[in-house]
Amino acid sequence: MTTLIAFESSADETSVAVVKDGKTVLSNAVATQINSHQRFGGIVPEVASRHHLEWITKTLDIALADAKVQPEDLDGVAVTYGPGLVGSLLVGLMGAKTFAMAHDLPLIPVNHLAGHIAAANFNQPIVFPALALMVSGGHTELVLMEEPNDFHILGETFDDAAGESYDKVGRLLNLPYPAGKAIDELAHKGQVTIDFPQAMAKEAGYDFSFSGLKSAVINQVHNAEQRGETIKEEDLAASFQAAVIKALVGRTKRALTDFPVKSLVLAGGVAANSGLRAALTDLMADFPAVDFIPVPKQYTGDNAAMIGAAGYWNYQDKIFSDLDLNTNPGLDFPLADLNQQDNE
Amino acid sequence: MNILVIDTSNQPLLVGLGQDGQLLDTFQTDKPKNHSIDLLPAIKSLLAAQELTVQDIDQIAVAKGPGSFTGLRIGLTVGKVLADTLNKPLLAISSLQSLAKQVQLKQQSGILAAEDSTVQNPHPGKLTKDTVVLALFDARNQNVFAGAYLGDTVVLEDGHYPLEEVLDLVSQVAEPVVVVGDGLHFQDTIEEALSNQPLTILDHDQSLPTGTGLLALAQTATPVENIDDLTPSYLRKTQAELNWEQNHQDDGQDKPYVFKV
Ligand SMILES: Nc1ncnc2c1ncn2[C@@H]1O[C@H](COP(=O)(O)OP(=O)(O)O)[C@@H](O)[C@H]1O
Ligand SMILES: [Mg+2]
Repeated sequence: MTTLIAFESSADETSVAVVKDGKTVLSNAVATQINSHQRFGGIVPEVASRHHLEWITKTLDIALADAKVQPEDLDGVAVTYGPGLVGSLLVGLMGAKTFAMAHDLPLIPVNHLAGHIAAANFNQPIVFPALALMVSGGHTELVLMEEPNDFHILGETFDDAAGESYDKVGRLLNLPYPAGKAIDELAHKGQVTIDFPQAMAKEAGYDFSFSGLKSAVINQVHNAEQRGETIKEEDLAASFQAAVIKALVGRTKRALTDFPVKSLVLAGGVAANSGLRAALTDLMADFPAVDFIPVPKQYTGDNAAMIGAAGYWNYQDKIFSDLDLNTNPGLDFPLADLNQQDNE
Repeated sequence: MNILVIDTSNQPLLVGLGQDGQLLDTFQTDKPKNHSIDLLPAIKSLLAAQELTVQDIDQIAVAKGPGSFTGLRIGLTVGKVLADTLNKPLLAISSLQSLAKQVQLKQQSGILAAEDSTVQNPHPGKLTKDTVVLALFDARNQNVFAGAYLGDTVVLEDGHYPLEEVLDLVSQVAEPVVVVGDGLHFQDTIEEALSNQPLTILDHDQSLPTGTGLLALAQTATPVENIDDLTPSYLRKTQAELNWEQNHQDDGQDKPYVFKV
C-alpha cells in the first residue's frame, strides 16, 4: 500500500490531498479563489499567488486531518511543478518541498495535465493503451498513452483552448468568470438555431482551433445588434456548445478509428460539460471494444487528489526529484511521432 | 536553542543557522530567480554541517517583507509550512529593520567606519550612536519601500513611499544618516536632499543580508500567533485590486474571496 500526500496550486485553487495507491482519495482539501477573480473577469496572477500563501497551511492541515493520517504514515509527496502560473505554482512547490524535507519523504514531480488524466482512475482503472481527451481552461489535447505515465500528444489546439472559448463567449454574454458551467446550463434550455462553422473540419490530423468559432459568435451577436434583433441567449449557447462538441467529438472519433486503444479518458475542467459527456457516450456505440472512462465530475476541475493519482504512476516508475526542483510553467507532453506510428 | 533564519526578500538569498543568539553558519547567494531552487538544499546542508536534523530546529525566523512579492512568498511558504508541520514557533521580522539592525551591529563593533563607504559623501562623517539608518528598496518610479531607525526607535514606519517624502522626513532629523539597500539607485537625489547632514550610502554588496540583524531581532520578537493567517508585509495592493476598488465596495465579508469547497 502506498499513501501519497499531494499539492496543487497551478492556477486559482489551493489544494492538498491524501491518496492511496493512486485510486482511493482519503482526503481532498480544495480552496477556490473564484469569488476573488470574478472581480477582475479572469485570474490576476499576483492576486492568485497571494491567496495561495493564505491557504497553504490550512489546506495542508485539513487534508491530513480528513484523511486521519500522520506524516509518518506517508510514502511520498507529489506536487504539480507545471504547467501553470509561475507565482501560483511556487507556493505549492515550496510547500511540498518543505513538507518532504521536514518528514524525510521522497518528492515526486507531477505534470498538472497528467494529473487531470490520472483522475480517471477514481472512476475505474484506465485500461491501456488509452486515448485521453484533455480539455481545460488552458489546454485542449488528444493524448495517446501506450502505458501508464507514457503521454504523446496526437493533436492540440492552435489557438484558444476549449474552456477558454467558453470563458470568452461567457464574457460576451456578461456571465461571471469562469463561464463554462453557466453556458452549459443555458445551452440545455436552448435550441441549435445557428450553424457555426467548424474550423479545420476538412483538415487531416487531430488538431483543434477554437478562435474562429469565438469570432463567429461575437460577429453573430454584433450583427444582430446592428439589425436591432435579439438572439435568444439560450439558443446562442446551444449553438456554440454544439459546435465545440462537434469539433471535439469529430477529432476523437478520428483518433479512435486510427489508433486501436482499449479506453477513452475524458479529462480537464471542460470534462464536466454534460453535453460533451453525452455526445462521447453516444460515440462509443461505434467503438464497443473501447471503455469510456470520464473523470468523475467532482475531480474534473483542479484538485490535488488527481496529482496524487498521477504521482502514484511516477512513484511506481521511481521518478523522484531532489529538493532543488523548480517550477516549469510551460511544461507539456511530447508530441507523438506520427510517422513512426504509421510504420508500426 | 537552534534557530533557522531565512531572508528571501530580494535578489540576495540568506539562510542561517543560529544557536543561543550566535550565527553558527550561513548560506548566501546573489543570483536572480534562484530562491526556489536554492533555499531547501541550503537549509539541508546547513543542518548537515552541524550534524543536526530538521527536528532539531527550535525556532524559525523569516524576513516578512517588504521586498519582492515572489521572493517573500518563497521564504514565507517555507517558514509557514515548516513551523506548522514541526509545530515550532515562527518569528516574522521586517526585512528593512533586519538590514538596519545589521548595520547598527556592525557599527557598534566598529567594523563600519565612514571610510567603508564607496561613495564620496558631501560630508563624510564619523558614524555615531545617533546615526539614523535608512533602509530602502527600490519600488520603481521613484518610489521606495523604506523604514528608518535610530537605535531601536522607529523614525519612519515601514511603508511604500515616494522617495522624496522619505528624504524630506529624514532630512529633518539632524543626525548622521546611513542608507542601506538600494540607495545607490538614487545616489544623486539622496545626496542632494541630505546635503546638510553626514551621509553614508552603502553599496549593494554592503547591503547584502548577513542574518545578524534578523537573528538579533528574532531574539526579542513575539512568535506569530496564527501561522495560517501570516502574510508577507507586501505594503502594496496589486494594481488590479487598486483599480477595482476605485469603483467598487469591498463585499468580501458577504462572499469570501477564497473558500473551501
Ligand atoms: N460544464 C462545463 N462546460 C464547459 N466548460 C466548463 C464546464 N465546467 C468548467 N468548465 C471550464 O473548465 C475550465 C477550467 O478547467 P481547469 O481544468 O480548472 O482549467 P485550467 O487548469 O486549464 O485552468 C474553465 O475554462 C471553465 O469555463
Ligand atoms: Mg487544470
